[in-house]
Amino acid sequence: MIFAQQYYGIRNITEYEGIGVSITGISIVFAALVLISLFITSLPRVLAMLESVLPPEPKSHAATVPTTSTNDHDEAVVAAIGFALHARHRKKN
Amino acid sequence: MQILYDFLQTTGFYLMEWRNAVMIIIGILFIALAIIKDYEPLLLLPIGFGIIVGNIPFVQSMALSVYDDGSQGGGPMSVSVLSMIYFGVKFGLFPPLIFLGIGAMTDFSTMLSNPKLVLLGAAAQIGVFLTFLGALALGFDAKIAGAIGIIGGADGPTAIFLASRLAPEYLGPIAIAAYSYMALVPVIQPPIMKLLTTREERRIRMKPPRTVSKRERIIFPIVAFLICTLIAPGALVLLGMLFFGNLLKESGVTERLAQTARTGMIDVVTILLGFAVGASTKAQYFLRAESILIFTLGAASFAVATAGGVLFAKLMNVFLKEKINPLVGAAGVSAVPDSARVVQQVGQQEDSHNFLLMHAMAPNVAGVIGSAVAAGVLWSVLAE
Repeated sequence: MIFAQQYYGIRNITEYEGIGVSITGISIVFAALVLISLFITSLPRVLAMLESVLPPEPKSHAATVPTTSTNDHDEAVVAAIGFALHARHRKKN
Repeated sequence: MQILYDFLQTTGFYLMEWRNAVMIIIGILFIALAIIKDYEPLLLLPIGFGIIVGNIPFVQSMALSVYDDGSQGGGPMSVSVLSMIYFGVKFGLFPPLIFLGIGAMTDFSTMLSNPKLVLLGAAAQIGVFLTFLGALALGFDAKIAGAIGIIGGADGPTAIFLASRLAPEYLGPIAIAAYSYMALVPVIQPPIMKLLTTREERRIRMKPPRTVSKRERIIFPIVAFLICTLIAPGALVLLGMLFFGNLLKESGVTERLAQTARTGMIDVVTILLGFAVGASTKAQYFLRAESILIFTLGAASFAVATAGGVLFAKLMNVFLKEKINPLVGAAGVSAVPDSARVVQQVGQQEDSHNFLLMHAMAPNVAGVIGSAVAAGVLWSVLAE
């Protein structure tokens, strides 16, 4: 039954300690996120202090697979296309 | 002739009530919004079709609806296929799996580069607790009020998870309200954001985020999980899966698992969850006066959460040297990434060269954590 006690307004809020639950709830949410914020703020400094004892930064396995072509010929091809377009443009003028 | 007549009495046309017809129209409306307006199509389309499926009337002796789970007796044949899919919603299985996928696709870098924006994710949760009070004032039982309040967290999986724990009988209206308002983020938020900010505030440009090291990104999910769940153990399942998914992504050694979690797995679960939630909206259970109250409170919850984030950002600006654009506070309601996109759009209406998207992602992901913590707190306090 949804409206089990047939109380409304302040009476129902008081009945279920609504204000206490709300203040406690929002305080806990803030406490958790403030602690996360403080942790994030201090993390770079802590890592800098521990730099000498920490292992080198891990590299992603996926990162070893090139996502774009690194072929040296690509630049030459682009340059050639650019030159051809430039020459054509000059010819037209 | 009698056989034909008997059969005709079992058809949907014969058994259709006006309430079923209304729900079918609502289902079609959801599908139209998804296709025409592109409002959260990945959610609204499965939910919309699920609504239509769940409102086709049939004779009582046939086990077809999500509610035919065999709990009324009748043996294995009284268990419907839809009830088996709905199992994942009813027992809160799907939301943590969605969180695993979200974790595997979330980049916390913007949050790590600007820790003060995390507080905006907490401020927006004020909507959850004010709506909880509002629901109590309207006469709802505390557990149901808590489940309604979490709609303000603007996080569908969190709303479903908490409703399944606290108010399973109202899971349908709460889930539909949560997802509807998430889809309506581009409609609900901009007027509130503009109302509460001046033109000058909307034009504030923020410093580009710093580069975050890989070590920071690996350590963050582990420590953040410990902080949150040691404070609010009720958030253990949701945040455990969120941060586990993020660690799969950031560790760099489980790319295959992360890829599965953020693509195939989350897609499958989203389809099943959306469809099952839609199918649970059988008119006889859904179309009640309480559902209208839940929808009204949900809208209020969303508006208050947005206002809470924006106003808290303005309050922070009183103390900060480097001002933050108060629009980014609106992204604290989570609804990833739609509310961050809305911040970007509203910001660019004032200054087309102001790019707020990256900054807004920080309170946006902090809002996901904040709403999960809020759900954990409500569950812990109200379940007793």
